[in-house]
Amino acid sequence: MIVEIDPEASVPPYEQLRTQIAALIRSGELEVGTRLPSIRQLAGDLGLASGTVARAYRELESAGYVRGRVGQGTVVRAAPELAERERGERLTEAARAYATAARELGADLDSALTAVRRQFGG
Amino acid sequence: MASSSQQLALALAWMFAVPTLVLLAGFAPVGRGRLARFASPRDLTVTVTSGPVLITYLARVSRWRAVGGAAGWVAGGALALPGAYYFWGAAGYLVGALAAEIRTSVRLTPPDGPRRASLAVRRSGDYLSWGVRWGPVFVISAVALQLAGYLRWPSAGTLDVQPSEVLLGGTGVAVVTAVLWLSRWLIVRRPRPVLPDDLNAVDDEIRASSLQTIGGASLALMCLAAGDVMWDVTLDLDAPEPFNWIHSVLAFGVFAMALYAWFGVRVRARRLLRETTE
Repeated sequence: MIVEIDPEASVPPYEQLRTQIAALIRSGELEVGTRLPSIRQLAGDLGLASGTVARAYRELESAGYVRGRVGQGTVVRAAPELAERERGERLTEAARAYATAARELGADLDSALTAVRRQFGG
Repeated sequence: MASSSQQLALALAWMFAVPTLVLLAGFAPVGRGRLARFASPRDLTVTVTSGPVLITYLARVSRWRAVGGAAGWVAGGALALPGAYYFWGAAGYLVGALAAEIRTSVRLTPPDGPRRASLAVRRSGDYLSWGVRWGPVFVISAVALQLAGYLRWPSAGTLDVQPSEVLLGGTGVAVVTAVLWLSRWLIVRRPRPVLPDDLNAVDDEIRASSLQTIGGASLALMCLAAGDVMWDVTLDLDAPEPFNWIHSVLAFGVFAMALYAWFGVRVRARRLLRETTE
């Protein structure tokens, strides 16, 4: 199970990490009860500050994806059901970030949509 | 009867012969045989890419450990430090082993571009054998039991075991425990990039081997420091049977454990049973 962070990207590293772990939990690749690495371990491996990983874990916890337990570390919980409104808000937020990145790269709408379709496997 | 000059020559030979042999062994090139002795008990397949990594590791750690051990042995004799040569040799070996790990664990600048990491959990317990994990607990419990017995049944005359002696032994045990903890922290937390399977396996075995060596050496030193105090307590104890017998067995047991830790635990190849998220 690999996560990848691009420090040069417009999306902040904690958000990249949060999104990837949330996606792994939603897809079932990270099963309920799986322990995530400690903040220090993951921060060291990714060359990030501990605070960055801690923020990603905190946001995942507040969204209900993981729970932190003293002595047990951070453990995956069942993926929370998102309300329609929340899903819409998050999608808009992610689309805004993607559109910004695509504009930075000089991509037009068609190429940006093609890239999205490819990621969806369509 | 040997003259004083002959005795001096013998003492000097003893002081320098062992470190010389240790240095010669430590600086010997890493050949195929040594590589196989490391890989076989661990079921490790050495590949074209993992072989050089393993050779570099084996060469580096054995040099640092040999230099540390030899320096400790010579310093113990030259500075007339209390205790036997071998104690200071083992202490130097431990310092050398730790120095090799510190040198490897120095934080490097992260590479430019995207960075990848595995979500697999690394825990020191997965890399260590039972002896290293529970040995220190056994030693500390044995010392506590021995001292409790001594407070319950002190000798009838004056007390021969001085508080300073107990304090010195306790400090030794505390220092070695700190070294053990520091090494676990350094080795397990050392950053690991995403690597191909063969290099991942070598990386795991290197971590396990380093932890096992440092753990075994720490445990041996802990046993020697604790055993010293325990033996004095046993000699000065006025306990009824079978408590007297139990205390004697405990003291012998801790000394025997020092030998087992050095010659058994320190060099033991642990087969990794890792719980991963991969």
